[in-house]
Amino acid sequence: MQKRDRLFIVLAGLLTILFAYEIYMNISREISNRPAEISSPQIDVSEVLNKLKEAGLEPKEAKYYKVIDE
Amino acid sequence: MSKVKCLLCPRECELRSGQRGNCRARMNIEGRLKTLVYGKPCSVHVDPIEKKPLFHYLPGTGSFSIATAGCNLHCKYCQNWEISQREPENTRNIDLSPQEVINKAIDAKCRTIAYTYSDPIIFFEYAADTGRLAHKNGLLNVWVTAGYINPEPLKEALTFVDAANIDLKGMTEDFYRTMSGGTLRPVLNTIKTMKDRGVWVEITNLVVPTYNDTREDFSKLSGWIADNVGVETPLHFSKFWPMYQLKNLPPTPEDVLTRAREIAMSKGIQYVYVGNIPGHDGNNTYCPVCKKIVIARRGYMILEYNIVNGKCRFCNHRIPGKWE
Repeated sequence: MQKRDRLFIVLAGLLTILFAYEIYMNISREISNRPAEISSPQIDVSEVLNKLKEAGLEPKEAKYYKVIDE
Repeated sequence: MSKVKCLLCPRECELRSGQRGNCRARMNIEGRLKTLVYGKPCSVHVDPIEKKPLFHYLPGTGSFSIATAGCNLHCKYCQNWEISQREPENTRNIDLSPQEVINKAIDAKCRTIAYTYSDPIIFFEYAADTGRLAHKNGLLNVWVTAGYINPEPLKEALTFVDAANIDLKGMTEDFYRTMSGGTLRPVLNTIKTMKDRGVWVEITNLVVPTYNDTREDFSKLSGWIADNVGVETPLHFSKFWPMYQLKNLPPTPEDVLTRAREIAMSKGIQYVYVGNIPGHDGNNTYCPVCKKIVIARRGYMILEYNIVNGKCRFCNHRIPGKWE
């Protein structure tokens, strides 16, 4: 087998693995019914509150807002 | 946990629990919107009122000036970015209740309290409580603001704000969007509303080289002021100093500010000032009738005062403002 043929086989193999991975990811997204986008990170509220407390801040009820039920 | 929608400024941030607004000073905590900066100023100083700048409002008096961290605009050239573009937990704050602000202002013999440096809009609740208490104690309230606020809170602010210097950054939506991340229309509304409702208004335009320094920029800005809030409204053109994200630019050349002043005066505006250049002719107040100097200044310092009972000492022409 010539050197050029070996290179071709290696490249073809890599492409096959890449396609297979993409197909697997698409199927797994479908199965889990999750959006492909990364969702916004979850915030640890107690950690945030601790940080504010450490800084000496005392959150106080604000004016001018409305509550939106999710 | 519920989401909340802040209605204080035109951004109207929608926040999940634990998220804070674009201003960094308001946060959804367990389904309720909280201000993080009430009674926690990070800057407290006694300034000459000329520093706000207000040139037609109790000249020569001290103004007790406070600010908290945060801002609802994010100007690339912000001159106070160390506090305006930081979270309140990352600034050095002091405990100062509204009553303590009043006590300190009285002790310092100030006639006004200035809500300044960042923007009073983002510490609205603190400014409102302090402002009302100030009135009860015979003090007046000065807002130094970019005017980026919704109509409803603005209506409340009008009940305690006596004077304002409003920053008019440019005259296009594109300028506001790209330089500050805001919009122009609410700012124009704030200027007009405050003027119509009897607040003493002066306007500042920070002139940034290559961004808002053309003849057309000055002409459009001055024309809008003349047509909408009147030629007696003082206008300050301020020198930009390289700061924050625009350190690559040079300071505003003096001749550009001089040209801005000339264009504004050609539009009929009677009191046009040049700021941040001590010794410039544009530091002085001139009588628009006899053309004599009624207040000579060097920077914030008053050198000569020729206003008697609100009128020019030389020709008796009324000079608009609050003088005593």
